[in-house]
Amino acid sequence: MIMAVNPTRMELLRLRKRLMLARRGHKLLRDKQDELLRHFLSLIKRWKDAREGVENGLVQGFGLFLRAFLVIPGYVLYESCIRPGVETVLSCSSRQITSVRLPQFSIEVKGDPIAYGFVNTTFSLDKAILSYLNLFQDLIKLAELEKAVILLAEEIKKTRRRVNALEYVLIPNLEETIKYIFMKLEEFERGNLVRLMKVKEIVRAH
Amino acid sequence: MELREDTRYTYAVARIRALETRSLNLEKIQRIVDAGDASTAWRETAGWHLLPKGELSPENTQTDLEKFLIEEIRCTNNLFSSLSNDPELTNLFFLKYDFHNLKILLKISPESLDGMVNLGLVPIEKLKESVIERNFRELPKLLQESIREILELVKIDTNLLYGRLDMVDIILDKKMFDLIFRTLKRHPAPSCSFLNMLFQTEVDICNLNICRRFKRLRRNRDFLNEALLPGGKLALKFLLEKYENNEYAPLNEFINFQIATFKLQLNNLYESTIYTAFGLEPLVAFLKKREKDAKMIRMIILAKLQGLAPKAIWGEINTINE
Repeated sequence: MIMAVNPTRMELLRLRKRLMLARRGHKLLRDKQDELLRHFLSLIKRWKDAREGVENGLVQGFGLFLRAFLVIPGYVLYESCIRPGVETVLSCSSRQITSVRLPQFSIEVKGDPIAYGFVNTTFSLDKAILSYLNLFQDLIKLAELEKAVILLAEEIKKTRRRVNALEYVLIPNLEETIKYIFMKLEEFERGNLVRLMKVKEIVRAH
Repeated sequence: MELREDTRYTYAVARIRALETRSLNLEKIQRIVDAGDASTAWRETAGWHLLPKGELSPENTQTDLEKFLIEEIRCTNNLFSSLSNDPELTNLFFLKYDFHNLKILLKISPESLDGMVNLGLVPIEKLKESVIERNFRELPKLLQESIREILELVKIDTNLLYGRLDMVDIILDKKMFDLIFRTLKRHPAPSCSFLNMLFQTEVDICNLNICRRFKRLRRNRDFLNEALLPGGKLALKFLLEKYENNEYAPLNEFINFQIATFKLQLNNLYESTIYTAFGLEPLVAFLKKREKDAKMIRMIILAKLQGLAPKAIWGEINTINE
C-alpha cells in the first residue's frame, strides 16, 4: 500500500533511510527470534523432563502416603502432619536471555521433615514425607521452568509479530512508496522536459 | 506365666465371651475385601458393631466411616470400663488418647480442638482448659503429675517449637509408657503381670521398629537414645550397641527375627486369655481385638474408596497382621 506522502526528493531520501533502518531492524529481529527459539526449544526439553519427574514423583509420593493413610488412624495422621518440621526459604532472582528476564528460584530447607513421634506412625509415612520434600524442590524448579517457557513464548510471539509486520507490511509499503515517488519524480522530469521542448519549439517558431 | 483366677470377673468374662463371637474372622474379612465397593464392604461388617450400624453417605464416606468407628471404639471402651473392677488398670488403655490430645495442644494452638479425639480419660474441653490455665487439680490423679512434668520439660527445651517438634511426641510417648509401668508396679491386681508382659512386648516391638526406621533415616545414636521407649524386655543399651555396630542389612535381619519372636509372644499372650476363666485378661484381649478390627475395617473401606484391588488390600492387611 502506498503511503500518504508528498512525492518529493526529500521524502524519497527520508523513506530510503527508513527502508534501510527497517531492513536492519528486520534482520536483527529475525536473529533475536532465532536465538529465542533456540533457548525455547532447550527449555521445553528441560520442562518436559522436569514435568515427567514431578508427575512420577507425585504418583510415588501419593502411593506412599496412601499406605501410611490406610494404616495410621486418621487422628494420629492429623497430629503428625499438622505442623511441619521444616522451614523453607524461597529466594527469587532473575537471568536475562536476549531481552527477556527469566525468574530463578532457589529453595533452602531448614529443619527435620520427620517432626512427629515414632510410636504410632510407620516408615511409609517417613518415606512419603521425604518424597514430598524432594518433590517440593522439583516443583519449584518446574515452576521456574514453566514461567520461563511462558515468558519466552510470549516474547517469541511478540518478536514474530514485529518481524512479520516489518517483512510483510512496512518494508513492502516503503518499497512501493519509494517506487511510487521515484516514478512520480521521473514523470515530473519528463513533464518538465516536454514543457521545455514545447517552449523551445514556440520560441523557435517565433 | 502364672495366671490366677480373679472371681470378681465372673459376669464380665461371660459377657465378653458372648460378644467375642462378633469379632472379625478370616471369612468375614474375605467377604469385606471381596465386596464391590465401599458401601457394600461396610454392609458386610454387619454383626461386628456393638452400636446400631449407620449407613455411609456417598458424599462423606470417609468422614462417616471415621465417625462410626470412633463411636464403636467409644462403646467398646465404655463396656470395658463398666465390666472392669480395676479402673486404674483399665484407664491405662485410654491414656493414649489423652496423650494424643496433649500432643495436639502442645504442638498446635491450645485454642483449637481440631484433631483431638474424645476417647481419653479427660474430656477434651477440660484438658484444654487445664493446659491453658496450668491447673490440673480436676484431672485424674494418674495424669496430674505427668502433665505437670511434661509441661516443665516442654517449657525448658526452647528448641521444641523451633524445628524439634518430634521431641514433644517423643517426650509424651516415653512419659506415657513410664506412667503405665509405674502404675502396674504398684497395683496389687493379679492381672498386673499379664498387663506388664503385654505392655513390655508392645514396647519392645515399638523400639525395634524405631531402630529400623532410624537406620533407614540415618539418624545418630544419641537421637535414638532419646527416642527409645522405657520398660521393654530388651535393654536399651543392647539395642543402642546393635544399632551402632551394624549396617542396615544385618540389623534389619536381627530386628525381623526379634519382632517375629515378640509377635509370637504377643499372640501366645492373647491366646492364653482364652483359658483364663475369670480375670481382666479376656477383657483386655477383647478390647485389643476390637481396636484391631476397627483398624482393619477402616483400612479396607478406605482402600476400596481409593480403588485398590483386593490383592493390594490383602497386602496391606498383612502389614497390619505382621
